[in-house]
Amino acid sequence: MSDTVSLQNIPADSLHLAQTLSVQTGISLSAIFRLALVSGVLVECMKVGPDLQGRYAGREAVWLAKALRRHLSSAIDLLMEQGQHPYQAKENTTGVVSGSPPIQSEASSQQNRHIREETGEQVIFDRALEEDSDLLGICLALSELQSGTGRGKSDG
Amino acid sequence: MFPVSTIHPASFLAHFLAQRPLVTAAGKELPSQIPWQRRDALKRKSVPLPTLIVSVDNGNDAFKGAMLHASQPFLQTKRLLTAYALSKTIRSEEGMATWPVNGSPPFSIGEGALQTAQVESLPIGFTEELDLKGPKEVVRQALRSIFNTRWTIRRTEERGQASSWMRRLVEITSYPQSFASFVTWYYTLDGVPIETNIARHVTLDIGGGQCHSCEVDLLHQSSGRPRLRMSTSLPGEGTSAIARTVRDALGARYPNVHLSDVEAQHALVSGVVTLGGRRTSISDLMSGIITTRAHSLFTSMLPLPQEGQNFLMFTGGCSVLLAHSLETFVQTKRDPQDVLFVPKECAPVLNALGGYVLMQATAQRLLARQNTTTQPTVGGER
Repeated sequence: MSDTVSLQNIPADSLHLAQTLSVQTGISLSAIFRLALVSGVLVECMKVGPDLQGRYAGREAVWLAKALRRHLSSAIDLLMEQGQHPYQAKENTTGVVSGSPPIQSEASSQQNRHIREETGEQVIFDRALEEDSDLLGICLALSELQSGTGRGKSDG
Repeated sequence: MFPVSTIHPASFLAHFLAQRPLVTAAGKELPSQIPWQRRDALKRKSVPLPTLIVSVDNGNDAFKGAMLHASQPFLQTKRLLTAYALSKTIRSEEGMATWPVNGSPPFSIGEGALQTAQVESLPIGFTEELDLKGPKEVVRQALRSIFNTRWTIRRTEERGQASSWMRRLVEITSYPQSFASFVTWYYTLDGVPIETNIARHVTLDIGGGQCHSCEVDLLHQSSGRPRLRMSTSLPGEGTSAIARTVRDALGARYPNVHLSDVEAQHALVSGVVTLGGRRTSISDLMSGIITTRAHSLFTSMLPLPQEGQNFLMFTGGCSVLLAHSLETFVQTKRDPQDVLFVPKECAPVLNALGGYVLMQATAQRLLARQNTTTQPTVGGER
């Protein structure tokens, strides 16, 4: 027999949502809470953040990302549909969506221009500096070091 | 006095010094943001994430940072003393900005913290974190702890107005700091090397904690640009040893005055210390110490000026402090065209400026790789 868990500190709105879901789906209230616990713990892992070894609650980030994907796919769809996804907020020059970092309106048009330029095939820098850095074995990005991809030799 | 004609007019360094806009020969401004992509596995496509390019040189005496102005093609720099004070010793209404991060207690940094009674130093210690395979494992572990993690930063300004930012480091690239100074001297705004007949360039970067040297051989070839070969070393201590001597001398003269490392470093640079509640010049006490200790510092780097086959470039915040002694010392061993003292406008932040140049090139490479990785998927969607 498992220990009982008090629900007295759960916000009333959350309880109401769970009860409504229970009625709607025909699943017991305790089953709804079990499901919420499973997905909620994963979200909490992400919210707390990694430890000094870069692990989330003792697990590798890639493991957490895969586990979250199963639970959050429909949630992210909803965010995108409703225009509440933080990345959409970044693209929205009004910058009014809550939770998004403030966008400097003074600079946004200039920066967007830069981004548009950069998304084209043209590059700003000659490859010389990049190739010299490559030759010297410096300026490897952390993502490259983690993934072991290193530098591909540029063919440019 | 040495001239500064050893700086090529098309180089980044020349542009920084003349405060010219950073516009390439093709008339393009350097991008302040890049269109970073985060992979959205659910949508099976990459999601755009505008990302700022920033470079940081975390020194023992000061933090130096560089990034492009938000709307103008000029690099902006910031130098912050490594002074730190918790909020229990400061009050924002006294005119100091505070910075809680991720719910931490509010704290003050830089010169603001220096005005408090409980200022602490934030030294980073001995720095030799890179080898040819990139950052050492202990450094990678430290970087992983801040990588791709959201930081909530709240700044309460002097008049009590608060602002919040959420920031995430989506990529971190380490660079050899004194090589970055060389980069500003050697490359143009288009990222191509300057025309030069110099074959051996040595950067001597005199910082607060250490003196770094970066020796770059430019192996000129019959065709094409020179190939580079680099080696770095730590020929001696920086000016922290001089600062400690100043602190001890002050302690001997004023037994009730106890300066922290960062306060001593600041006193050394500013020539002023607070005594009896008043800002008091200590230049008389410092001049003798600087002369004596600078000689000791220069002795450790003596082989480099004595070797007659290299071109020397002096930079670093403390090369400005020691400018007079340094020039006197080097003049006896070098012709003016064989040496460059980076002017004081740039010397304290040159590593960060060069870091920014390197990050532009690195970002370009990462973007190219990202596009190569994502294009097949993007092409196949919907």
